[in-house]
Amino acid sequence: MARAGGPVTVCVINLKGGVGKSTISALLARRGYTTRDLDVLAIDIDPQANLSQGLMHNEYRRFLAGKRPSIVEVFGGYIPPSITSSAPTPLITNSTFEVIAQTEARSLQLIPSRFDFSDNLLGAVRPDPRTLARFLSSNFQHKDLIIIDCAPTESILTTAAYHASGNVLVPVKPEYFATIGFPLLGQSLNNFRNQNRGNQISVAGVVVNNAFYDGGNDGGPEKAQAMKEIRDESKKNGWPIYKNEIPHSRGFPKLMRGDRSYQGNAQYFSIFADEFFRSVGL
Amino acid sequence: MKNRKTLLNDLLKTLVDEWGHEEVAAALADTISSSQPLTRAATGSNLGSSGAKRLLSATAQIERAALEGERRDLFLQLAERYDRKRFLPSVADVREFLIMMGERPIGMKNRKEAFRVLLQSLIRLPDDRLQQLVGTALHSGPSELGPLSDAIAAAGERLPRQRQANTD
Repeated sequence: MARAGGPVTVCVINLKGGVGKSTISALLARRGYTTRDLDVLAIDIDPQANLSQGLMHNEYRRFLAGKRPSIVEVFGGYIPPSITSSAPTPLITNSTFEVIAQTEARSLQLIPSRFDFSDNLLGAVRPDPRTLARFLSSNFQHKDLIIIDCAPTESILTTAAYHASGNVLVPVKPEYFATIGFPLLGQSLNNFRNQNRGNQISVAGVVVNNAFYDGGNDGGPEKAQAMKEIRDESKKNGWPIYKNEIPHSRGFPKLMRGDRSYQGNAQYFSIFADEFFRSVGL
Repeated sequence: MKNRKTLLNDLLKTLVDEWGHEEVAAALADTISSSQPLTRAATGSNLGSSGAKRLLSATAQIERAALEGERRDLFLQLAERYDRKRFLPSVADVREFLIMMGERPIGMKNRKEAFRVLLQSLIRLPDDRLQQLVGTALHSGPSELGPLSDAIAAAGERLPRQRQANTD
């Protein structure tokens, strides 16, 4: 269902890997669809394709084997010749990409990534970072929520996500090396704003992710030091920090694998999720 | 707090004490036979010779249902995959699937019982959606690295760069 101002588009990014971007993207996409009744599009622009695997599970193998359309085709602008068609064909959006779930009124769709995504862009003459934004503006204005899972390194993919997003969600793990991503991200966003003054992009918030943190929910002096640094850097950049942290739980990796035998504290992801949705007006 | 079985037995005892065994059994038979044909299968159970309730497999539930033609074939394929745990292998998977369909499932203690609940939702789907469900591995359970690794390797064999690396 179309919103008055178009979909709320959020890119989930931190220029440090392993902070939970894909897990958070997958869980927010699912939760937005199931509990907020939103029409959702998830986009994976990380060549590691963890979001794609976390939403598609075993179907991702068939996706690879069948050479089904992906983010590669979005940047290419067409579907290449295949077994069924010896000529290139246009991208027909609603039927082209993966449907994870649907009801009569809405769906949770996914534009998956592939591990050859970077190779493909590097092979292009002049990859255009505005391609994704143009594609979304022409084809997915009916969505309520678009979530873009970004790669952890600065590249044209990062710029493409910025062009397509009005909001940024920054997950951070409360440990020293993870916080080093903050100044890098701050610089990245500032550079983008300076070069694209017509774009409006702001950080919706920083979320502290204890999910994979070895210190659990109470990591002692090291976590306290890291949290102080997170607060200081966030304040320096003018980024709000979400009040609710994501709890430590062995349930998160299980959920991303598609194993629902144990959730544990992962069920409390909902508390942060509700705060996040409120913050972006959903 | 009473468990479900104790509660059921208490309720039945109350009915039998009030109306007698024969009248309660007749009323139950009337209720079952006056329901839609699918409901007979959807009770998911069969009384054995001793009167004990025996939950039917998914395939058995479909075979008892009033379905015909291609639609029956699609349901049988889904049921067979369900029985082999290649479709929604756990009760939690069934619950999640129903939530993703916009339902709010309750009361599923085991997979055979869960299939009974699942069937009520699946029966409302058009044939093309059922066909998609039959053909997808989206709901076949947890992923494993081995098959994914093989799929990535197979896709990688098609890349020129990979072939170059292999010849070095």
